[in-house]
Amino acid sequence: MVDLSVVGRELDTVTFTVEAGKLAELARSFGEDPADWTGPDAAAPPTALVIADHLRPQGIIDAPLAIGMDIARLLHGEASWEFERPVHAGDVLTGTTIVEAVDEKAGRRGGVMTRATFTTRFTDAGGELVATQRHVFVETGA
Amino acid sequence: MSFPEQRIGPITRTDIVRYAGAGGDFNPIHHDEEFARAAGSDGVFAMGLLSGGIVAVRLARWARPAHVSTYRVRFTGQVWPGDALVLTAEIDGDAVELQARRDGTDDVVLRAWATIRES
Repeated sequence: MVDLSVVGRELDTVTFTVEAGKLAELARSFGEDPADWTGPDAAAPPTALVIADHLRPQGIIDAPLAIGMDIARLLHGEASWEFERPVHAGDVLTGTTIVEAVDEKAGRRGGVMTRATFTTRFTDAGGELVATQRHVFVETGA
Repeated sequence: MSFPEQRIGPITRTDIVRYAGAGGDFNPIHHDEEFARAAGSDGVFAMGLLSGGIVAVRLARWARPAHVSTYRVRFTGQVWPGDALVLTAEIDGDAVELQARRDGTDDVVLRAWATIRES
């Protein structure tokens, strides 16, 4: 059960370098040639900011677990990115994640279904906004 | 410019493990068969952002990577080990709407929306 008072709470801030090696691993996992996505002039894959999750003990599911969502009923519903500019290997980014919204409704198979939106703003070393990321996680009903 | 229909996969268990390590998604429902079954799933299934990430790079290749301004993906069905997907898209000005369905079926496993910047 998620306490609805978590809405607006800041969960964490991570600072990291967008390492070419991590981009290469990610590109490989998509069946791509890493060389196309890792050079200083190459834009990273659109979903590349997931590499920030390596800084969190439980990776991408750190945020939903931090607000008490049940791992046994957890589904990833949606993800999005809005880019002010492309992400490149070598960028030093700082991402701060907040709980943007939590909604509850009756689950399809009974119980209460909870849907939570987590928003991360990534800024560069100069403090300029680079991208806004949103993840929606769903905790299914009973 | 039209977006050519293309095939993704088949997605293997090895692809799932590789993405767990590369992308930092260690939800056990994607790699631990026992956990997945106890959670009511028929077994492990791929992370949404494995197929969602592949769709994003296919889109970025088509649009040129630096031109992807927004990308949003909604996971509408599970991708099981062995599934191949068929990716199609419709273009309306700078907006692209994509969908991936399980090959040989009408099951849509993800929908995605993107905007492409011109310059």
